[in-house]
Amino acid sequence: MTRYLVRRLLQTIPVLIIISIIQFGLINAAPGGPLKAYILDPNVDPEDIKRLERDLGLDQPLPIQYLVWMGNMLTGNMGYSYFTHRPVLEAVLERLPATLELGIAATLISYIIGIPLGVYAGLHRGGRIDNVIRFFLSILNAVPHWWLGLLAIILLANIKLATGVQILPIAGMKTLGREEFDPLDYLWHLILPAFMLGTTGWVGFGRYMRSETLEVLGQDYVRTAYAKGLAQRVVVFRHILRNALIPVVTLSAGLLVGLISGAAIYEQVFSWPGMGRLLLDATLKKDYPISIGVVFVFTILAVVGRLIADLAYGWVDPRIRYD
Amino acid sequence: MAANNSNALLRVEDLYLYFRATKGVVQAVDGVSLNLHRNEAMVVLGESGCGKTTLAKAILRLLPRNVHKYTGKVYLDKQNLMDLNDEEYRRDIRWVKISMVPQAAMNSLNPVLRVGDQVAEPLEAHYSLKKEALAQARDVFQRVGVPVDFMSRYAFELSGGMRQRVAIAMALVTSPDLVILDEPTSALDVLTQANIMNVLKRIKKETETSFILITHDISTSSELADRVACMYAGHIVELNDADHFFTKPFHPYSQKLMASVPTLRQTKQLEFIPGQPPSLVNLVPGCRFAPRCPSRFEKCADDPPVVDMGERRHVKCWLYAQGKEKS
Repeated sequence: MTRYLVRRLLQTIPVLIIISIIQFGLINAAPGGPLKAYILDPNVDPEDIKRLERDLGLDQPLPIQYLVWMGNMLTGNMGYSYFTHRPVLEAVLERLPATLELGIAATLISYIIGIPLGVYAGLHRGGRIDNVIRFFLSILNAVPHWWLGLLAIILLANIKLATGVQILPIAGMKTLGREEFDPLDYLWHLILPAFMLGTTGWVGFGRYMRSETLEVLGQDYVRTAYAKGLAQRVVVFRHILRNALIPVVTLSAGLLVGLISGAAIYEQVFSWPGMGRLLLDATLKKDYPISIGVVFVFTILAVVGRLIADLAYGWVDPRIRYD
Repeated sequence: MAANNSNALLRVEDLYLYFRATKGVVQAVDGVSLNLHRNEAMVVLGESGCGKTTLAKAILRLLPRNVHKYTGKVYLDKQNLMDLNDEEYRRDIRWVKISMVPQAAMNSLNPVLRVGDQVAEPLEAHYSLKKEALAQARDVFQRVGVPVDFMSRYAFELSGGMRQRVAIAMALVTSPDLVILDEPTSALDVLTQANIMNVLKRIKKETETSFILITHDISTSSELADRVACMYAGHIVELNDADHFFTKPFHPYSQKLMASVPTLRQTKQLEFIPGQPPSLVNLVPGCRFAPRCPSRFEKCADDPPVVDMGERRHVKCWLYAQGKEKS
């Protein structure tokens, strides 16, 4: 087990290196650059641009730039923002809690809604409720979820305009102007974005759990469990759910990655001050160090998420051994 | 006949179980009657698809979703099980009075639970035992010859023979009156088969339990059998005691079946029965074996009667009806 963990953690090193090279290449392959906006500006002296380029190291060939960045990384220095001159690490870590909060809440919602929905539908296959669940899951699966987010915002805003009732806040993490920490206010602001971001998850889990439940229901050991005269509750929880969950646990790794990358769009839609929005802003402004820094942290989160999912896989399925 | 039923444990009368299928109604169990005494072992013989397993499911009320007809009487200790509702049946009968060893024991164990817990589970469910359940499970593991430290293993860590023993242990743990074994030795090698049969024989000797053994393996089942029920196309065509059945069966189908069993050191021509058993969908009236029967005659176009041959022996065939009709 320890050896497995060490090996998995060592494997993340090449992953991080490869991701950083790709991100470095991609961002530089995009047209423009942090200083290109000034070239056409008559008020900026070309000499100053040259000097800025030298200061930022942008006059060096790309491989050299990369190696310099890598060297700094190894000493724990992720560089500075081109525009605000704040340390990248500080800027990213400041946004990390908001993203984690949204991501974890969305994950929980995915499980809490998706799994019971799918299991219920599977157990009552062909019934009216199953048909309703399947109908809505199929529709939700076909629709882009960020668009649903926009629809929800329009709906809530119109209700507010028409009746003056704010059912759920549609932007931000807390009520503006409120300085002290108020958990209920945070929770209230979290509901809508987390539910919408979690849609990908619970729709997927719902569909997956339904087919897995059907699959497991057909297994001999479930018939044995019923033959033993166990109560329905015991058969469902001990025999069906335990087995139906195994593939879903594998799916969780993908879900986490999806939620992290999805966060970039949802944070924009719901004005959520997380890393996703930071990444979008930085990339549009060509703030290379911030952009690379955020992707780096995203990569670490994704790798850790996969590791947790793989460990959980071994916990739910005794046939999996780590060695 | 009712007089010599004092020792009877199970009495099945006119049991029907039909399914709806895309092609029509499958008459899998079609008016089956049988009776079984305490500590008796009955072997249900027949070809694949003749309704043997469905008969077991009908007795245990393990019904699929597409049931078309499920009627008849199943008396266990003079209590008609068909009068119980599903919840009463689950609570009072399943694994309390009747347990089963399912077909393909490999797949009948939950892959993610320790086998010891699975064996102890019925005791927890029906008698709310916790610690005692595991102690009793340990006891029954020893009785079927599985090392006690296997209790903490998972099904995939056991060999086929061991899994089959675990499945038998699971069926015995609540000391039920009746154990239904569905093909307990198929897919096992001959040595393991012999081993399992010895375990069953010993348990039959040690306890009062009755057994219904569903199989198409005539030679292995003869080890345990007191009585034989021979099934063909949803009917029981012959009920006989084992000694008579294995030496001088009544029904032409039984005779053909016995003639197809290989015997050691005897160079006899193995027979087979030409033709196919009928599909159980949309059966025509008359004897179902008639198209393949060497001794068929005009009467076989009508459904044959069940003829009482005395000593709890019955045969469903016109050949035996002639002389009996007078008496």
